[in-house]
Amino acid sequence: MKMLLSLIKKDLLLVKRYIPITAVFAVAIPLFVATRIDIADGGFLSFFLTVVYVQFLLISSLSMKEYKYRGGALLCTTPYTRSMTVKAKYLFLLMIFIGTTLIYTATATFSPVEIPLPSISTIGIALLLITIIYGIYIPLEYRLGYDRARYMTSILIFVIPFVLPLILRWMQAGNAKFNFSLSISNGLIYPLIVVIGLLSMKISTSIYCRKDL
Amino acid sequence: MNNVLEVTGLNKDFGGFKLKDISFTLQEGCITGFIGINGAGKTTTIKTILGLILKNSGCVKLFGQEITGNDEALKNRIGVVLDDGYFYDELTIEEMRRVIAPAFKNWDEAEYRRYISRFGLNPRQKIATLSKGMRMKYAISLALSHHADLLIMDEPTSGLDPLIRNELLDILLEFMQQEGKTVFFSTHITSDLDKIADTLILIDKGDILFSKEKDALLDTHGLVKGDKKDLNEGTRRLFLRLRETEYGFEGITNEKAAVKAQMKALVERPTIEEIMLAYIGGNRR
Repeated sequence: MKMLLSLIKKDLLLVKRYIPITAVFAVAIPLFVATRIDIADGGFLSFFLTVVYVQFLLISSLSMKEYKYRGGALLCTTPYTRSMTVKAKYLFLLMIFIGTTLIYTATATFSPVEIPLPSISTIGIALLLITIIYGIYIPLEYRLGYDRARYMTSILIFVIPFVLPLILRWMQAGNAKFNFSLSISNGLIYPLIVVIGLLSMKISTSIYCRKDL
Repeated sequence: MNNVLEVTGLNKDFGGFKLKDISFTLQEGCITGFIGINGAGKTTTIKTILGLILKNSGCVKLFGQEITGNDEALKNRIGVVLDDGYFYDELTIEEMRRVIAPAFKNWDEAEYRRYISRFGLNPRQKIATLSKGMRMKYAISLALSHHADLLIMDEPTSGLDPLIRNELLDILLEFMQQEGKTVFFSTHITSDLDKIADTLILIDKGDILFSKEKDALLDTHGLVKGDKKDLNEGTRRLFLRLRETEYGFEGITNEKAAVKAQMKALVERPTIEEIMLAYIGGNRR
């Protein structure tokens, strides 16, 4: 556990320069969305966009540093195992999510503009979507390398703001359906997050363990 | 003496380059120089031993145990200095220590501080701003602060000035004064090994050409200089490499006794570099 925490600390050290700017984003995005977009989704869109941007900024910065310095090779000459470094990356992702949620909640609490506090199901759905996105992206990055995976993320990050409101509007149009999906998610969403997260971690570990460093 | 490292039938195929059935052993208490020209396969071999590059076949045993499956325990007993360090350059010396130190069960903070202070390293300095020599000293500080029994170094002297190279060799000799320590040291600068190596392993084109005790190697090989009239079909075969000029010849032999018996030439003690080049020349013919 101590070793795992050290690896998460390493990830934090590598992106520490970007933390202030991402914290500003985490405050600015909900304020911006609250003043510009009027959508009765219980604050989901605002929360999800905040989380997506913060995750993207920090995770892509971390991947860039790992790619640039190839420090993973040095770590693997020590008792740190490859599987430990993969686990640390997933835990780091979860840590960013928790941090962003806390900043978002504080912003919603003290904001002069009305921003709905994220509910358990809003947090759950956002975490599920993040788990699906990164659950696919992280193994892909281990497989293809940072450079090629970066192009895919860039495309995704530009597409999400355009596509997501459309999806939400479509879901709102069929109101009963939307509420139904939320009530289902309350019971299933967190086990689903764990299953997808663990599966993705297993795939990433198996890819990384077969790579030449 | 115990075998600290046993490499048997190690193969790795990159398509354009191969490690071909690499086998050798390192004995406890010895400094082994792993020599070869650039691109010979030294770094690939070291990285394969350490599991950074996955082998196609073969067996690597550290301290009598297969490394696969036991790497966490075994890596506590080795210190590694990689060519170029592979550090996260934008971290400070202290930040990098905070990443590396918790990995080792036997990390000795006092020992680490001693090295840092001895080398004049500033813990708050960014790694990116360190000179090549200081980088090497920092890498050694990290590699030796957990009381490693085996120190593996990949081209540690490459690009260093003679003063720092000498200092590094002194550190290695100091390390070897402790009981049960072993050093495996790859280099293409063979003059460093003249001073400190006990055993030499030569690799070329992914193939081990020899693995011998340094003194035995120097004793059994000779640098032969003489008149061209001494050369004939039979005597030419005694040489690994032969260079003829208008006036005479100069060559390296591994059959010193036969040369002395059959030729009236001058036989001198060769350098490691001369022996290495003679074998590599032979391997490339």
